[in-house]
Amino acid sequence: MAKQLIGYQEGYGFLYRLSGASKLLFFILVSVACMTTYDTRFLIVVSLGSLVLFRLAKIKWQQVSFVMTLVVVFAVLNIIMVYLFAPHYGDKIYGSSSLLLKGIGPYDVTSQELFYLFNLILKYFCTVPLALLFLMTTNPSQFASSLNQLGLSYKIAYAVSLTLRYIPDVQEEFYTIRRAQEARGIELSKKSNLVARIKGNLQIVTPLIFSSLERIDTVATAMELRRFGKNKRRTWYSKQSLEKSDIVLIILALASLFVSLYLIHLNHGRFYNPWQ
Amino acid sequence: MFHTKSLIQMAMMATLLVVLGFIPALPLGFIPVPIVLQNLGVMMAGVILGGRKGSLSILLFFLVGLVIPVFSGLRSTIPVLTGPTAGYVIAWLFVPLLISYGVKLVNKKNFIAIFLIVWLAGVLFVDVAGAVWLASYTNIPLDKSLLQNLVFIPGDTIKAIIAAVVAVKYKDSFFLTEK
Repeated sequence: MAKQLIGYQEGYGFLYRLSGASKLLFFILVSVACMTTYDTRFLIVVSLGSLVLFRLAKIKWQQVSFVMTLVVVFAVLNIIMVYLFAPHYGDKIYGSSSLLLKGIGPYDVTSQELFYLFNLILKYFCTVPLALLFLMTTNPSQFASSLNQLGLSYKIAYAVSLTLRYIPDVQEEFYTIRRAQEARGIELSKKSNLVARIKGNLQIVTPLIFSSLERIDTVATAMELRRFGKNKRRTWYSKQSLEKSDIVLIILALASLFVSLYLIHLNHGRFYNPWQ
Repeated sequence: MFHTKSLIQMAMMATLLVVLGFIPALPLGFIPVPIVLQNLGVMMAGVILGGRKGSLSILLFFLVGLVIPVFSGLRSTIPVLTGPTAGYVIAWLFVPLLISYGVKLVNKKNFIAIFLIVWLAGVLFVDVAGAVWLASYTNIPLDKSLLQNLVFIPGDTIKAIIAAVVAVKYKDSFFLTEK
């Protein structure tokens, strides 16, 4: 079976009591703020804040270590690729060049390039803990109602819920189909040639698609029989009203976005330049 | 606005996109980058659901990506959309529209024509858009960026072939595009 990568864990504390809507809005706004700016001071503050919140939620390391490993691997690859393709991008941005290490050809290491890469790393520290926090402290049943609370049509919000709900089913279907086809003699590993493997994958993807599409009539009919879409609005079983702490969280998120934009104005660009 | 059945179609296609992203990449010996199946799902969305619903299902996929890491490499929507690979995934939104438009112009039984449409919309358009964004984002020269993207062409072409095979072989089954 597909391993459960990550998911909601029942817990106690104010992070768990916050509404999914305010947490989602907070996560989106802070992510946008951190992704648009390269002001190192802002990124450091948000990184530390993220780690503190992470600690407050009392999430254990083993709960997230697998996902964290994948994220770290991807982040490292990203940093390496940026350096390999643009080893002097940092120099251009900050308008200065302080040689630290003489490299082969264009691959000198400069303070400016390292500073730029440091900013890229900080972005991961800003958003990954917040994403994990949101995932692990919010009941998935609240995702759809949260989107509806934020103004999205309840039909589209419910489509999000449906998509989430069917992920494990379709995953299960994929593994079932693959095992059935392998039992019939399809070889998908390196032992067979290219054409055979492409054909084999086609014979897994095609039934996967059609078995998924087959659900459509059944699910749609069942929903309509239960009068889905009949009215302009609906109630939610797992909706949670906004409390004072939720309002504070949203204000904090908006403040971080405004600070980020103001710093862009202050720095005359997205970069904070200590060599100016 | 949205009929219930159309909503389920888009939700199911978005689910397929998510699951295809979970499937590990397939390394093929002679191709430098492994084949990920997720953008095969994008081509399938255009082939099966048509332009409007296909593109909306990808938008739904982005919405789901706000809350769980659904992109290849376990990334979620906001980091992807503000990162170096944003060009590719934004181009995904237009792939079903382009495929749907192209398919209207040709005979559905003509495999070569269908393949060309899927290839132009799902491979060439996406890789060029991705290269353009990558060039501006990382400040590398555009021609260099385009050259680097050539490594994706073989794998993506195989996916376009698969999508075209499905489109031609099951063309009579795709009543979905009419509703």
